[in-house]
Amino acid sequence: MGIKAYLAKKVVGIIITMWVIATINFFLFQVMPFTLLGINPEQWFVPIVGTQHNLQYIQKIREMVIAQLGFNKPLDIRYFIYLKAMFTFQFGYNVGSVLSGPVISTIARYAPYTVLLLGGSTIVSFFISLYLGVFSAHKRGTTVDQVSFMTLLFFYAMPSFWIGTLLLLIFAYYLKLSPPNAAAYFSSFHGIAYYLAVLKAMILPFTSLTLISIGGFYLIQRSTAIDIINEDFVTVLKAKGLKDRSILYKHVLRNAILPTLTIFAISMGFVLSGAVITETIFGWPGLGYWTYMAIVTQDFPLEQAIFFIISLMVVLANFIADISYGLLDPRIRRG
Amino acid sequence: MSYKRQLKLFAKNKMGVAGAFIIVFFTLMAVFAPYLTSNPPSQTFVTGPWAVPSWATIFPPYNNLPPNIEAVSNNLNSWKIYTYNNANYTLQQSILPSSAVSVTRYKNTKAQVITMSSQVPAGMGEVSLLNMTYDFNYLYRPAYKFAFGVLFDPIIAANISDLYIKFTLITPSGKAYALTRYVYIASSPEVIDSLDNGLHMNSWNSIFMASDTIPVVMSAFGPSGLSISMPAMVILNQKGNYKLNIQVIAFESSQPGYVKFSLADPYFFIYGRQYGLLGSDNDGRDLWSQFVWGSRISIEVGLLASIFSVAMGLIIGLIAGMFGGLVEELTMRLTDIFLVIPFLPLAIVVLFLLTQNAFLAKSLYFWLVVLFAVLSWPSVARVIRSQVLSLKERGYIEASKALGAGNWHIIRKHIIPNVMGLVYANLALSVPGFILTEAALDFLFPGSSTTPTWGRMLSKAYDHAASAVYFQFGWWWFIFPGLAIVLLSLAFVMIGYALDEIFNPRLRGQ
Repeated sequence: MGIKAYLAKKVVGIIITMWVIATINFFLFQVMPFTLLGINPEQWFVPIVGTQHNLQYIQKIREMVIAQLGFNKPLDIRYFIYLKAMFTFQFGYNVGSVLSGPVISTIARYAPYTVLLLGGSTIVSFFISLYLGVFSAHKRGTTVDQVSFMTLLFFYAMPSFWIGTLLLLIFAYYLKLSPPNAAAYFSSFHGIAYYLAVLKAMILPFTSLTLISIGGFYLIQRSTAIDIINEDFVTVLKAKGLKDRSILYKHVLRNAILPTLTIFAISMGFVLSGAVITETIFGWPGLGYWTYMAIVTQDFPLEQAIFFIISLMVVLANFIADISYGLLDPRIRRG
Repeated sequence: MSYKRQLKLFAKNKMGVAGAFIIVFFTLMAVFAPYLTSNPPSQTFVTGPWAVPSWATIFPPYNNLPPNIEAVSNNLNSWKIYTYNNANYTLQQSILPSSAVSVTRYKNTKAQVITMSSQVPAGMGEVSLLNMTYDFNYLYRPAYKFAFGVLFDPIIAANISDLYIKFTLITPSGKAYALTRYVYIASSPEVIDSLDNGLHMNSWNSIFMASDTIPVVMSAFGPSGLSISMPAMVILNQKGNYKLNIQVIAFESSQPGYVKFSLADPYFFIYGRQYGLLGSDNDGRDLWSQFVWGSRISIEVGLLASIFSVAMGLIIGLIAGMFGGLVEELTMRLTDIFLVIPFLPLAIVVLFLLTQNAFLAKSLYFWLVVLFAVLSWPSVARVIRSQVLSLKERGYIEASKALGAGNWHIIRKHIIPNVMGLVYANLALSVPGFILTEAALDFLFPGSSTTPTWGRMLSKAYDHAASAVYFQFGWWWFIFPGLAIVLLSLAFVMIGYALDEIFNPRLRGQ
C-alpha cells in the first residue's frame, strides 16, 4: 500500500469515527432525556442556582436553550443542524448557572490549564519511566527491581481520587504548603504573581497525576527493555567492551522506546480530557473540572462540546501515533 | 492441557496464589457482610464522631481514649435519692405504654419507675421536689460527645407556674456544669413548647439531649478550637469521680400547689473515641460496616461487567475470526471508535441520565455494568479475533478440515480450548478498570445512590478533609477504602498475569 492510500484510509477512518461519536453525543444529550427516559424538558433546563429567585431569568434561559438545541424542530432536522454545528465548531452558548458566553471561548479559556497540567505531568512521568524501566530491566530479579516494580504497580492501581485526597489532606490542610482549591487561590493574583500562584497551586495535582501515570509507562518500558536486553546485539556490545551505562541508556533505551512512545502519544490525546477527578479534587479549572461542573450545573452545550473535542483530540493523537510509529520503526514502514 | 495441570501450574505461581487469596478474602467479606457487622452502614452515632479504630489504642497517641460508656445505671436503687420534705416515693417495675412519646429504649420491656407526689407551698421560689445523684468514675481522655436524658411523665401539676427538669454534672474538682437550659412544662395541661422540649402532660416524654447542643454551657467556654463545637471536651477533661444530678423542680406559685409525676430510665451516654475495627466517621457511623458492605458493589460490578464484556467479546470475536465479512469489519470499526471515546466523561453523562429517572436509578449499578460491558467488549473481540485468525492457519485445523470437520466442530474442539487462556486472562485483567471507574463515579457523585461503596466512603472523607486535620487526620477513614480498591484491583492484575504465564508457554520459561 502506498503512503497516500494509507493516509487516505486513515483519514476516512477518522471521519467515520468522529461521525459515530458525534451521533452518540447527539442522542445522549438530545433524545434520551425526552423520549427514552421520559424527562420533562421544563425540569431538565432549570438551573440549580436561582431556582427560587429569578423566574424570568429561568424562562429566558429555557427559551434560549430550546431554540439553541432546536427542540422546536423535528428530530432529523435537529440532527443535521447539530452535525453541521459540531463539525464547524459552533458549540452554542453556555446555559449553566456558572458560566455564560460562547462555549468555544469557555473551552479556549480553560483548555490551557489542562494542557499545562496534564501535558507537563505526562511528559515528566514518560521520561522518568523511560529510565526507570530500563534500569529496572537491567537489575531484573534484584531487590531494587522488585521494590520498584511493586511500588509502581501499586501506583498504577491507585485510584486518582485516593492519592489526590491524601495529598490534599497532608500538604494542603495539615502542612498548609499548598492551597486546597487551586482556582480560588490563584484567581486573586495578577500579573507575574498570577503565574507564580498557578505554578504553586499546580504542584499537588501535578504530583498526583505524575504518580498515577508513571506506573503504566514503566510497566511497558520495563517489559520491552527486558526483551531487548536479551537480544544478541546487546551481547555483542558487551563483548565489544562498552560500559553498562552506555549500553543501557543509549542502545537499549532507544530500542525499547517504541511501545512506550505509542502509549505516550495516545495519552497525549487524552490530555484534553483532563484528569476529571484530579482536577475536580484540587479545584484546578481545566476541562476535566468543567466536564464535572457542566453536569453539576447542567450546562449541556458545554458538556457536549467538551466530549466532542476530547474525542477529536484522542483520534488525532492515535493518528499521529500510527504515523510516527511507521517513521520510527523502519520494519513497519517496509511492511 | 488438562484442567488439573493448569491448576497445578497456577498453584505454583506465587503471584496468582496471592491474588486469588486477596479475592477470596474480599469475596467472603462481601458474602458474609450481615454477619461481620453489627450496625447498618448509614446509622449515625453508633459511637462518637471521628473515633479511632479500637486496635489503634495500643499506640501511645491513642492510649486511654474512651470507648462507648453507659455511665449511669438505670437501676434507680443505685441512685442517691432525696425528696422535698422527705415525701414518699415508690419504685416499681412497669411496662411503659407504647403510646409514650418516642420512648424507644423501653418499648415493651420493663423499666424501673419512680413515682412521687408532693404538696408545694406558695411563695417558695424554686422547690427541688426530687434530687437524685449518681456517682461514676471516668478515667479516660476527654470524649468528644455525650448525651443524656430521662423519661418523664408529669401526671398532675396543679397550681404551679412551671415544672423543670435540671441536669447537672459535677466534675472531680467540684465544678458544676448545668447541662440543660431548664426543660419545662406549664402548669396548665396544654403543652407549651419549651426551648428544648415540649413536654406532654400526663404521658411519657422522652427528654434527650446531646452535649453539642447544650446552649448555656457553650457560651461559658472560651473561644478556642474544638471546645466551642465540642463542650464535652471541656466538661470531661478530668479523670476521677463525676456526679450526675437530676432534679425535678417546681417553680413558685401564688397558691399552694400539688404535683405528681413519674420518672424512669435516667441516661448518660459517653460516645467513644475508639470504636470497632475501623473507627467512625464525622457523624459516628461505623466505618467497618461501610467498608464491609462497600466490598459488595466493587466485586459485583467488577466481575459482572467483566463477565458480560468478555462473553460478548468472545462470541463476536469468534464469529469475526471464523467467518470474517461484515461482522469482522464492524468489530474492527467499533473497536477503533470505542478506543477513543473518553470513558469517564461518557460514564458521568450516563450516570446523570440514570439518576434522573427514578425507575432506572433503582438499579443504577446494573445499568453501570451494562454500560461498562457495552463499551469494553470490542477490544476483547479484537484480541479473540486475531487469535482465531492465527489458529485457523495451524496445521491441525487444516487437517481436521480435510477430514471433513464442520465449522461448529472446529470451533468447539480446536478453537475454543485454545482461546480460553486469553479469555481467562482478559476476564481478570479487565476487572480493575471497572472497579476503579465505578469507585470514581461514586466519588464524583456520591448522591447518585445510597448504597455504601468504597468510592462513596472516600467521597465523604474528602468532603471532611479540612476538619480531619483536627482529628488525627481521620487516617482510618481515608486510608482503608483506597487501600481496599488498590488491593482488589492488584489481585485481579496478578491473577491475570499468572494466567497469561500459564497459557502463554513463551512467557513460562522467563
